[in-house]
Amino acid sequence: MNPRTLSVREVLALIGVLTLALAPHMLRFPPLLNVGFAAAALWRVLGAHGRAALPDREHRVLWVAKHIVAIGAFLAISIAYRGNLGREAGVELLATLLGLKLLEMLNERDYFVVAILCYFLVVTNFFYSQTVPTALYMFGIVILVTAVLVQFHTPPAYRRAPALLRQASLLTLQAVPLMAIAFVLFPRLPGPLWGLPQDAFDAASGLSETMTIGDITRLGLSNEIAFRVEFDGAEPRARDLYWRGPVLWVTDGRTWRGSPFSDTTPGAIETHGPLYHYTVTIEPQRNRWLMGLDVVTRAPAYIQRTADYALLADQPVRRRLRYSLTSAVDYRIANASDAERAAALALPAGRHPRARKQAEAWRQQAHGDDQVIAAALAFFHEQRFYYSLTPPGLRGDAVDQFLFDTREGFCEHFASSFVVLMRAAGIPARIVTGYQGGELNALGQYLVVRQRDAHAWAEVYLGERGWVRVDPTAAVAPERVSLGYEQGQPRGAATLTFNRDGLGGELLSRLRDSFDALTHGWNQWVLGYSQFQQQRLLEGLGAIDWDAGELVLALTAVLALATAALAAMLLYTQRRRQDEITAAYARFCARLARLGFLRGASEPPLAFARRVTAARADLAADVQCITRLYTQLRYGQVPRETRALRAAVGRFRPRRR
Amino acid sequence: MSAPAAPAPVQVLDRRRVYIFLTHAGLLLGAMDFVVLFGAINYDNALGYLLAFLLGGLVLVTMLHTYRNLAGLRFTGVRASPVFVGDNAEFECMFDHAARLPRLRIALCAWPRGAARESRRQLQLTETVFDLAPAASGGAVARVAALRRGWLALERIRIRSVYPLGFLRAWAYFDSAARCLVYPAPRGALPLPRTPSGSDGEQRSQVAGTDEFNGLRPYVAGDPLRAIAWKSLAQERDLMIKRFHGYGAERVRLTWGAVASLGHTEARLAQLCKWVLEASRLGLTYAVELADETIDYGCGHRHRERCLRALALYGLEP
Repeated sequence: MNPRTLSVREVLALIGVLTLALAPHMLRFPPLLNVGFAAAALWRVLGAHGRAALPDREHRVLWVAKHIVAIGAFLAISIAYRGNLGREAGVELLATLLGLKLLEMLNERDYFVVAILCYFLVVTNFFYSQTVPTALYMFGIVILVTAVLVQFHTPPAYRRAPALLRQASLLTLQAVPLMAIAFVLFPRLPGPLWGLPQDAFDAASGLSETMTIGDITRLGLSNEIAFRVEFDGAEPRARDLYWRGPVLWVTDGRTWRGSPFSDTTPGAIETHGPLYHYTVTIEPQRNRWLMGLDVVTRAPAYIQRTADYALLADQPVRRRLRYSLTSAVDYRIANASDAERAAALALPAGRHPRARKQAEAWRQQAHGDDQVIAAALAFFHEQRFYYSLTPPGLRGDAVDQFLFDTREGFCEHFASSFVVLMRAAGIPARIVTGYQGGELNALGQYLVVRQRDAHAWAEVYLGERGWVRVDPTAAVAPERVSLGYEQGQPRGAATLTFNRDGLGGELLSRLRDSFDALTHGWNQWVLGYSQFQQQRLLEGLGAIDWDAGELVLALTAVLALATAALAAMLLYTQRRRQDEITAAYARFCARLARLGFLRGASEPPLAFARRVTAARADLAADVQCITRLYTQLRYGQVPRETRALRAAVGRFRPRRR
Repeated sequence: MSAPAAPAPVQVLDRRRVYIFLTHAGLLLGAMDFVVLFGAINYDNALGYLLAFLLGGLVLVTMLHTYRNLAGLRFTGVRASPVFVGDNAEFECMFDHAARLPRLRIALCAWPRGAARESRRQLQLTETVFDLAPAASGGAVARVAALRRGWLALERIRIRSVYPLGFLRAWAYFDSAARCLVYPAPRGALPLPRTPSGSDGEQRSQVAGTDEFNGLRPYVAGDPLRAIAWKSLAQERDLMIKRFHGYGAERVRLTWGAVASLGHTEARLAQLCKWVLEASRLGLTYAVELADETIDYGCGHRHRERCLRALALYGLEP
């Protein structure tokens, strides 16, 4: 094709779609970047209207300026992220380059590059959100980008916006079955292909060996699976599903760190109640920590049990790992050493004055540790504390500020400030990080625990009773714990439940339940679809233990079948119109043939009509009408309905004379 | 006016004759799609998988649509008018189709069989884009640079289309027996060999001249405009031609011998061609005498065509 210049309409359409594709990111971008992008877009639009010079090679100064801006933006982003170019920096760079690319988008090739990058931009949103609305947004953007491309390849006479959108939607919808087939059958691989950038899961509430409150003001709820559990025999109650990870003992007032006792072995456990036997399949992660239910009593030899009953693998868990454990949820561990007790009481000197004062007040009023704990939990419950995934940042004394000023946070805030209060009141306490809950997979009868189930709670040491779990988050947002919850709701949203009596309330709650069910299905079938589920699904279809090669073969075969079916459908609709027209005219000719008028093999319809009307003037009106309709449909430039021709031929019943 | 249209059977594009492959944009999209897929695998990102497969599916679907834009197209004939060497021969190719949907952005160009890349560039095979309304006919012009006099065969045309998304290009070839007559380029510096009026009296009365009015006759295609009886046309009668006796009508004889000084055959033909055009423009009566053929005195459009044709085909297979 010959290179052609871009029309104003084409430029505007692409800039519009690009802006929509960037919109979710713009909420996160630094303002300067947004302003720069808007300026570039505006400049390009003015350029398209011929009201501004574009920075092409003819305008040397602008051209040089553009490159300086590009290099400057790259440096600025590199410096802002301290050279650590991960996901967010990558998206910002991409947006910068796209903005600049708009300015040099002068021909067909550049147009395509920008359009294809619009498709790519959609994927960058999936690091932040994988919900149903995000998926709908993805389809919307794909349709719009496709419409822009259709417009580019459609001659101006056919460029009506509804027709273009319909064509783009049609293309996208026809691709959906193929997408579904590939999604189900494409072999899923265990674990990453290469190392993930450092910020890959930063916003995910995954576990790390330290915990700093007040830094993370946005906790992403990653639906990625952390591990799965198959119980052998009895299953524990939902409220006992506390999966123990690293235990944090040491604090500088803001950051909590790991255990000084990780190389010692655990003491004896006095168990009551049943023991649970189960197998954990843990997904690849960054460190050596393994998850077990509450207190593990027996583990394989290669798993080290620490003194605080956490589990350590012999090396970082780079691949999916499967191990069997035995646990107790009803137990007594009352063997804390003096060193442990001292560590569980240590607070940094001079920090948290308000929290200390409050704890001392409780201590003076209360009789015994239990009442101090009750007072603290009541404090969380009765004061207006909010459970929020996007709490404000904390400066200065994070614990005091959280307890007495902002009162908004997620489990880490509650657990760490509770432990500070306990220690200040003289009760040994420590933070346990891990996961809480999990959802039962209806298909597989196994429990799925996801990254968003990550949790932090406290353990206090109460003399004879030993270490006792206290979950202060439950005091504020009970729905956040102990249930197989879907997503931690900010407390504001949870108040909906109080209106259930009214009709509107019922409708609302029913809507919410439906949305929950949809989200659950989505999480289970789309987001949670992995090698594990794929195998189980295929087993259900009778394909047991297929390896990747067999899957690829099956995928190819099914895709080929689906494409062939689609091709048959498309070409069938292509044929029909002509069939109708030709068939109608053939009927017309057959009726005249009975009267003795045989149309010659290459006799033009008009000549044939003249010949017939010359002999039979009484048929002239009908013959001319049908011939005119036929030639218009057959040779005309304007698309018309075939109905009139078919009706006229149907009425045409010539009689012999 | 036009050269005889080549009698060609209607050719319908069936599926085996349509080829299809990714364009550069399609390859870029494919590469991007692989990046998305690898990212999805690496981060185990379900929506990443969905997008990668949706775009892959889109390419497959587009393949069918691009293919459908060409498949079933009927190539019904070619019209071509003679041109001079150095011009572009214009073959007007006619298509029709029976489909319910329009066929959009089909690019047509001549595609001589077996022509090397270099010679294609030399032939300036540029593409012409055309659209067809639903179940309609239409056409576009395939241009080929006329480099040599004589018959220029179209041989083959190529149509291609990237509709609707530009990620895939479907293309197909149609054979054609159509040819276009190429006259020599009118070139040369020699003056028209005019002889003084009245010096050659023998054949005067036999040839239609332009001097003395001698009644009217009906118009015949090819008559010079200058001879039309506008007055009689104004009186709403048929188109008539004024007839003149050839007394004093200037006659020139354009002979092979007169251009002998040019030596080279093509140069001589070019000079004769220029003379024919000049004589025709001046309304002269002229004859062309070549080494192997003589065309007697005459004038008018048809005479001119006849002379030019003889020049074009001189020494070649007719």
